[in-house]
Amino acid sequence: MLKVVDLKKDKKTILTQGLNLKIGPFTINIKSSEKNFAETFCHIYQSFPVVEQGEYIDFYIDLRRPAGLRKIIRPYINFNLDGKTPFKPLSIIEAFPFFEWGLNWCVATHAHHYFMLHAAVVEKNGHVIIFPAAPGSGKSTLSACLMLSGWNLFSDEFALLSKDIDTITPFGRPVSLKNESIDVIENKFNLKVNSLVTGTAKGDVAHLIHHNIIKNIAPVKIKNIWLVFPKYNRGAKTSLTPLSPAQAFIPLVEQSFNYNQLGVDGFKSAKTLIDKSKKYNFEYSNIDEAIHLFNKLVAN
Amino acid sequence: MAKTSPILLLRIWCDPKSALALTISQQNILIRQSVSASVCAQLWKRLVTQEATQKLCEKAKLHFLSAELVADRQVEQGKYEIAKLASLAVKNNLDFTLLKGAAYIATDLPNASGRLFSDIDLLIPKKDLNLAESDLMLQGFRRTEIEDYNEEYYRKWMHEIPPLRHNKRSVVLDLHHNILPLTVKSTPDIANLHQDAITLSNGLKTLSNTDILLHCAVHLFHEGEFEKGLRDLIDLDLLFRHFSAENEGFQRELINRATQLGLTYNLFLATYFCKLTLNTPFDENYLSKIMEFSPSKAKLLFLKSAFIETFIPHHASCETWRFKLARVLLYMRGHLIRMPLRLLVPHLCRKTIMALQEAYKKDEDKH
Repeated sequence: MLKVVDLKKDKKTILTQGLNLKIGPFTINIKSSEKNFAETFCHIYQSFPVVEQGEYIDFYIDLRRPAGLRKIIRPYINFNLDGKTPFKPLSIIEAFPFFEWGLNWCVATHAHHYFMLHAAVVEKNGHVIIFPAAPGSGKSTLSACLMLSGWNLFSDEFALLSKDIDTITPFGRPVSLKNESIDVIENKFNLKVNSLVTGTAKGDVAHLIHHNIIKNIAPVKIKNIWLVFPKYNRGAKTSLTPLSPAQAFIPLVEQSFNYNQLGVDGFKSAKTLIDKSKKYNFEYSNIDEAIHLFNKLVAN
Repeated sequence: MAKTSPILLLRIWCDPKSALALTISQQNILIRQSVSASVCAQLWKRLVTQEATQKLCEKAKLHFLSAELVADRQVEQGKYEIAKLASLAVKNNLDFTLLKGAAYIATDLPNASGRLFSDIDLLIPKKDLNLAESDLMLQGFRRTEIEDYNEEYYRKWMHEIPPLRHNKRSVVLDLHHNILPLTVKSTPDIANLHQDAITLSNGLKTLSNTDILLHCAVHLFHEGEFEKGLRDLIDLDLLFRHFSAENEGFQRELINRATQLGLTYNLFLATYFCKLTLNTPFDENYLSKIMEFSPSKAKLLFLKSAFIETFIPHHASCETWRFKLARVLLYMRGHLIRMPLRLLVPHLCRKTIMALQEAYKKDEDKH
C-alpha cells in the first residue's frame, strides 16, 4: 500500500495538487499551498495510506489564506470544507492543529451512522477501554501513556461505535497533547513530540505519532468493553469506583457528539453500551499507578 | 432544458432515475453539489421515492442518510417549537401566521420533507408586535445582540424586527409585520394577506395557498444573494405542482391574486425560471396570461442570463466566470430593488465604516 512517506514529490507540491488520504474509516482530500503546513502534515501523516483516484472522498479540505490584504499582512488561514468555511480563520502557525480540529468537526457532524463519543479508546488482549471525558480531564495523556506502554490506541478523540454497539471502528490519528502533558510524556518516555505550536486557543499543542496508533483496520467486534470516566486530580489517590447504569448514563451522553441528533436510536445505543460494559469512575494523579492498574485489569 | 443540463444536480433532480447510471465519482459530485445547494436530504428522499438509490455506493448512501437524519431532526424540532408557539398564541390570543419553512412543515407540504430550516418566521399584525415580543420574552426568547444603528434601521425600514433567540433551546424567531421591507416599491398591503390567512387546528395560521406561493416568489426575487436560490426555486416548483394537482383552478386564482396584490412581476419571474430550470408544468392558458407581465425583451434577457447562472449549486464543480459575474450583478440588483438610492448610499457608507471599525477593534484585541 502506497503511503505518504513513499511519495517522491516535494511536500509543497503534494499538497498544492491535493492528496487523497485514508484516515480511519474516512477518505479525505487535503489541499494547501502553505509550505510549512505541507511539511508538518506530510511528516505527521507519513505512515497513512494514499488512496487511488476513483474512491469515494468523504471530505474535501483546503487550508488556505483568504483573499485580500490579510494574505500578506499578519496572515491568517481558513479551514475550507468543499468551498464552505465553517470556522473563523486562525493565525497561520495554528494551521496543523486547525486541520485536526476541523477534521474532528467534519466527522462529528457527518458520520451519523455511528454512535459517536468524545473519548479516547485503547485496546489490549481483546479488552477495549473507552475513556469518555471532557477536555482537560487527562484522557489524551492517559491514553498516550497506555499506548507508549504497549496498548493499541484506537483514537484519542473519537469512539466510533456501530449503533447496535456490536463493533467499534479504530480511528487512529496523531495523538494531540496539550500544555503540561507534553512535558510529562516527553520526560517519562524520553521522546520528542512533533509539531509543537504554542499559544493556540487551547494553549500549547503538540502531536505524537507512534506505531501503536491503529490505522485503517476494519471495525472490531466488541467483546470485553469497559467504560471508564477518567479524572486527573493533582495529588489524588488512584481509585477505580464502580458506577451503576443510572450513574453512568448522564456522563456518557454528555460526551456523545450525536446522542441528540440520533433521537430514539441515540438512547438505545447509549443503553446498549451501558448494559454491555463494565462502568467505572477513575481518579488519578500518578501515571505509573494508572498504567499498572489497567495492565492488571486486562491481564488474562 | 434541465434534463440535459450540464449541472449534474439539476439533471438528476429532474430525472432521478438517471442516478442509477452514475459512477462513484459522479455520485460524489452529486452529493457535494446537493450539500452546497442545501438540498442533500431532499434529493435523497426524491431518489428513494423514485426507487433510484440501488446503484449508489455504500459511502454515498451513508452521506445521504446522515443528511436525512439531520434534516428529519430539524423538522421534528421545528414541529415542537410550532406546538409551543401554538399554545402561547391560543393562551394569549395572539395572531401568529407561520411563514416559509415553518408553514411548509406545519401543513406537511411536499417541499417540507427533508428541507433544512433554521429560523421560524412569523407574521404578526404591526400593532400587536410589541405585545407579541414581550409575551415571547416571557417564554425565554431574547433579543440577539445588535448594534444601535442596525436596530434603528431594522425598526424603521425593515419588514421584520431583529431576531429573537431562545435562551435554552437556541431556536431563532423572526417576527415580520410585512413580507417585504417598507422601502420596496411593490410591498403589498399586508391586510390583504391577513384577511385570507387560514387558521390551522392548533390555533396558528398560515397564508392561503396562493399567498404561500407568492410570498415564496417575492422572497426569492428580492434577494441579493443566491446561495440558497436553487433550493428556493425548488420550493416554488414543488408548490406549483402540489397546489395545481390539488385544485384545478389554482393557476387561474394565482394570477388573480397576484394582480390584486400587485405581485404579477414576481409571479412571472417564478413561473419563467421554474419552467426553464426545473421543467415545471403549467397550463397553456396560464402561460399565455403570465407572459403579459413579462418585462421588456432587453430586461428579460439580462435577468435570464444572470439568473440561469445563479440557480445552480454554488459549488466549485459548476462555478464559471459567468456565474461570478452574475453573482455580482444580482447582488447589486438585490440592493437596488430593496432600497431607493437616497437610502442605499448612506446605508452602505455607514455599514462600511462599521465593518472597518469592527475589523480594527478585533486586530487591537489580538495584539
